[in-house]
Amino acid sequence: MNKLELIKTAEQIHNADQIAIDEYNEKTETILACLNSQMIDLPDLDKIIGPNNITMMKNNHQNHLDFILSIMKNFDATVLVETIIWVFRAYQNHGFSPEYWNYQLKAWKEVIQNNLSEHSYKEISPIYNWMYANIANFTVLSK
Amino acid sequence: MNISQESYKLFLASLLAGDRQQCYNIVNTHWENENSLLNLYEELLKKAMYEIGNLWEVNQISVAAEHLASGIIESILNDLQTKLKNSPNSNNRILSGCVENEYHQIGIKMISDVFEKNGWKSYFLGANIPTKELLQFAKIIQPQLFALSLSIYSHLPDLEEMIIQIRSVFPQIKIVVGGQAFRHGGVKTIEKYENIVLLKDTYQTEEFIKTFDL
Repeated sequence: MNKLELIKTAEQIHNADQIAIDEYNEKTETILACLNSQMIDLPDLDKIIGPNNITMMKNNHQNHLDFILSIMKNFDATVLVETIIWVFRAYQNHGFSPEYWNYQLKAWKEVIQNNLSEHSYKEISPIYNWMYANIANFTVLSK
Repeated sequence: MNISQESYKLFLASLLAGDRQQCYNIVNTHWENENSLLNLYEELLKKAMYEIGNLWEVNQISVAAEHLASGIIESILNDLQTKLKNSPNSNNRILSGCVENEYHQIGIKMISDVFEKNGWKSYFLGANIPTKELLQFAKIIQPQLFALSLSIYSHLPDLEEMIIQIRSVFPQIKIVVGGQAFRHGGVKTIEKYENIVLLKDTYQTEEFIKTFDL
């Protein structure tokens, strides 16, 4: 799938309602702490993120939260796709393995399901499902 | 006058080596040869900083090298500012700065100085300016224009909040916005608000200043 086709699929993502965005915003610290804890507990973390990259990984998770919050408030499919491609490229160039995205997005999905209300999870999960489903496309496009 | 590729490459290499004096020498040579300020901004300083960002992205340089380069560029901007005509020749005042949580101030510093070059009294508040503080300062200086910068797309909600707050106190005053965040999007969000102008670079900024009408 090329970038334009991917943007077309992103345009179909259900955008979360304000109640869900507010809940995600209110719980960012808890969500971030759970996500970091879950990722740090992964066996062979060094192989997944590269050596000495824990701080960079945590920065990425914080940036992820800020970006998703921003994109949910002002949805723009092009910005979403361009930014994820940039993130994949930059982090892989800094030693993160392509498998990191699989572990990371799976963990995000679990953490938001465990920490958000049923309503908010239902509203926000489509964007995570879309990112998770397109890991292979982003990996190719980031090369 | 165009900046040669050779000169640009030497400037970039000097930046990466942390050779502040060589960077100054290159800029001063261009300045003395009457290269325009905007040319220096766009074809040398901005181009080099974008390349520095690309080099970080591909892991060719460290964050430390990036910060070193930013520090040199900022000192060059301050040096260039002293070469500008310092006495304002109009009663226009501009208040500029980055939105809350935004730390990339080089671009908005250039914009602020372009206004100064064109005779405006320019008040540059720098990075991460709390909206409340911006408004309090604006009440004192009563600007004719605000200039706000956004480099990171994630801070778009902060920019929106700042625009809303400015509008609540200064409903008629024009706001110009710009920054790297708008390269891929964000325009639709800004277009929701009246009296907002998006400026993509310093050339466009100077054109805007020349046609500015209160």
